[in-house]
Amino acid sequence: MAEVKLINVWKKFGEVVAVQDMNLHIKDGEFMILLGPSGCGKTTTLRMIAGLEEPTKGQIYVGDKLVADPEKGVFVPPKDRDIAMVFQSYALYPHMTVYDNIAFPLKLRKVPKQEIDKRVREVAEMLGLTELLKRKPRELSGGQRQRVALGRAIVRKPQVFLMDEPLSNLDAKLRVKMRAELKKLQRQLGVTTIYVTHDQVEAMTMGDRIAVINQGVLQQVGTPDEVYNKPANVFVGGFIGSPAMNFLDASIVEDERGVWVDFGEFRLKLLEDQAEVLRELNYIGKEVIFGIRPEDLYDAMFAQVKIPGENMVRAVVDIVENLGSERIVHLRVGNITFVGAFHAESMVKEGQEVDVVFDMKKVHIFDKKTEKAIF
Amino acid sequence: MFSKFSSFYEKARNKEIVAGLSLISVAVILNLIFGYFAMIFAFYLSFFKWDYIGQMQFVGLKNFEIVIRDLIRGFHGAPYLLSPFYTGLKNILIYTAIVVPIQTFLAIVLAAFANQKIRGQQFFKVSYFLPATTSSVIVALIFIWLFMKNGFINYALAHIIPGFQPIDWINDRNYLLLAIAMVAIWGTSGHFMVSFLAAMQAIPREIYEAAMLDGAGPIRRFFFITIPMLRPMIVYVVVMGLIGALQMFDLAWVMAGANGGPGGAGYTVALDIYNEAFTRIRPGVAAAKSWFLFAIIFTTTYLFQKKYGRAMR
Amino acid sequence: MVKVSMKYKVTINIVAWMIGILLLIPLFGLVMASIRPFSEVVSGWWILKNAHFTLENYIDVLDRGFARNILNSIIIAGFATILPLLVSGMAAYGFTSFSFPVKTMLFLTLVAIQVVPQQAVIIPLLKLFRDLGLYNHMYGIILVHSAFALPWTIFFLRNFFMSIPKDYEEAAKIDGLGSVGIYFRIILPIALPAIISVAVVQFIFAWQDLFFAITLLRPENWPASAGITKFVSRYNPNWGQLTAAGVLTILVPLLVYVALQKYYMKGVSGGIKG
Repeated sequence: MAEVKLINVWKKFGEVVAVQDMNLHIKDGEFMILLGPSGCGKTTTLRMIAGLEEPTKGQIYVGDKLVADPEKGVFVPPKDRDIAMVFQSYALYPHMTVYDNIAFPLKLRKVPKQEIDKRVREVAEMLGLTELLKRKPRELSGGQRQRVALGRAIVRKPQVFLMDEPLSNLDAKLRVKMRAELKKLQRQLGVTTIYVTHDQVEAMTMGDRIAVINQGVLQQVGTPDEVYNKPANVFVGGFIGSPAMNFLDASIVEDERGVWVDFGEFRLKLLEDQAEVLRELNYIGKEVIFGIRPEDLYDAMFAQVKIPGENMVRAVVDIVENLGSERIVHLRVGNITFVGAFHAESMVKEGQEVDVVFDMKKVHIFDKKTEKAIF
Repeated sequence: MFSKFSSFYEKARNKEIVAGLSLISVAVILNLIFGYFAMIFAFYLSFFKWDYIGQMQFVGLKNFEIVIRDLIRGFHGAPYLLSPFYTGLKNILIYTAIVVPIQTFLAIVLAAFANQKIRGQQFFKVSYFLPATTSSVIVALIFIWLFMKNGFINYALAHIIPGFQPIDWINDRNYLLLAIAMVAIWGTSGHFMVSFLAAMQAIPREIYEAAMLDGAGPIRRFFFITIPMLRPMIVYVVVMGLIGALQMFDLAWVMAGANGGPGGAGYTVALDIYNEAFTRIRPGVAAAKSWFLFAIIFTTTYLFQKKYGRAMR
Repeated sequence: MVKVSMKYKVTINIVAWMIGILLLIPLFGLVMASIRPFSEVVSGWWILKNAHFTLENYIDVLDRGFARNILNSIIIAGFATILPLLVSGMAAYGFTSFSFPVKTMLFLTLVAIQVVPQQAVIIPLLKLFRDLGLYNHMYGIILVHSAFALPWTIFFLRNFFMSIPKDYEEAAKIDGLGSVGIYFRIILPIALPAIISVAVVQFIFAWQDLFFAITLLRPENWPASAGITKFVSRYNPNWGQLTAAGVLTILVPLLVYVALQKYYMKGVSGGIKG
């Protein structure tokens, strides 16, 4: 069983807390993404799992083995953890050929020469590197080097793969191609993989589950659908999805017609089940943060359910960005601005007014102080 | 003519050429005079007999003949006084064979230590290089005095090795060259250590981490990663080391004296050339001998560079 | 910071310190001997019991004219550092940022000359200096040192200059700076660590040279490296004075190195990337 468990893991560099009380359980064979902005602690977490850093507090398990526990004085060095890592810069040995690079870990473990040859060629075949075996890293393109780095990791048949932003040095097109290839490869090999990235698109397309981290604190762990549709807090809601979720300050009011989200300039009526939740949790009359994704805003022309005053509002168009497949529209009501992703055939023009429909089913309400999601 | 030049100068491309050439002009001129011209004149001189004062007498290949006879005599076992050049050559080759490998290896080791992030890293960086800031003359003096019969080295060795008889390093023909070699290694390793240190610091940390994950311990990492990646620098250090060692003069002059000490044990080619030029007043022969030295230095460094160095330019 | 085992750390620490101390013993000995009266030096300077410390050796040495030798060293090494720096700085810039015919060939001829030993050129130089009246003149020896410094300093500086991204130069050109301005206000400031490294190495090298000093100058103009020989005699030299002169001789380059050490390290690293 190649699970990886982090239990109450802390990492401090002097006074600076890089990772705060992280609890994470990665399942066997799972493709887990550690996602977050630069400096959020995701790479530090990865390095602690690798054994390149020691946690300040807490326990780390790889497989069934306890590999790190500073309080008990346990620390298993990287080479004994049966893990392999692909670095952001690939870290290929520049003075060795591709063949030697891939063979190196096996050579160190004193695997017999024939066995080494067999495995290296297998891996090269799998990754399309057979022609390049005699070349040196400096003669290879970025994509080729990356595959060599992968090869070096795969050839050892480790329990766990660790990847630190392996695609970030590739050009956009190659990145898209490699995303699919990596995912396919992981399925094929079935090895537990932990993958660090700051790119939420990568996370969404590749991960079985995503762990969103910010400033050393784990924000949410869930499948791509879960973190997209049910963000646990403002940070997750805003980090995932592009263009980003709109966040507006509002207050919850109730009248004889129902429960409303009041923005000052206008208000929107919440659905009955949403109203129930807010009543129960005592949010009536309180200030909240309202969130809605641009793709859940519609040009009234293309909306089906439109009730003026309840889910529709007239807004002024400030800027239109034509992406071809959709139109990103920057809208304004009074002093309130937000962004919508309209249908490609919407005819809105800058300076004009348009009726905007909110898909109330997709509304998110967050507590103003804790920024945690209510729904 | 000036108008031709100024119209030539108008074009920006030509401006660049003029600028570039003038920038390097001083360097090239100095180099031509002190390097090439000097060498050519030395070559010219080697065909003449001269005493600095009067006219130069053409003697054809006689000077070279003197050198070759010296070598043949020495090869057949003649004592050092009859074949000084041979003695000097033999000694300097042995000396180089001892000094260059050890000083290169030591410099790498020192750099490796200075590269560790341990307390006192500053101390190492400074103290390892300190010997190199001293003049070779001082170094030589220090060591004469440490190597004296009743000097510190014998004192220390007597305490470490049981039954050790003090060696008179300076005056014992069997040990003098070794003593000089040790002095040279002490004095120059620090200098090359700095070059290796810089090269080591250019190795990305992630490569070591990858090696760690692949299963390499510190010693394996040193031999499989550090040393291979230092290869260009190793070639450079060895080449510079060869050039320096083969023309070693100062240490020998101070520690062995102008005559090379007992039985010429400390006599070197450079010393011989000096004697030839200033003591025996035979600058023609000295010129011939210095061309021999030049040929030796050139061949060894060229061969070494050819075999081990990849394009350094 | 990667985690390493405790055992490894301790071993490395011990070995590194031992090596450091071993390397410093000779210098330590030198200082010790120089500050003790002659009688104690002969019997064994490492014996610390009943040691007396004194500066009489230094005073004697300076009295015997060594001060003049040190001064000569400062003049020679100083100018033999500044002059080549100026010339090779210009030349390195020329080779880096300009293209002109036979550039590569000229560069190679410049660098290739490093193989020539000092002894090979000494006689021609002597004749040249005699004819030009430069024999026994400070200018002469300074010029020779400078010429010999050129190959490696140009090589080193050119490497370093090449590692400076061209963007800086181009931005400056657009801002209106000419080549001269670019050299003095962009390239030199960025290359300062490299220049200091070159200066330190060349200074030390020129300071400790013996061969050119004794062949191109007469004893009254000798720098410290040669002047110290007047305290040497094959039979019973005055070790106290000799070591005192030794300490004085090492003092200046040592201080230069210690003061500039930080730049020196940085400069050498930059030259690698070329």
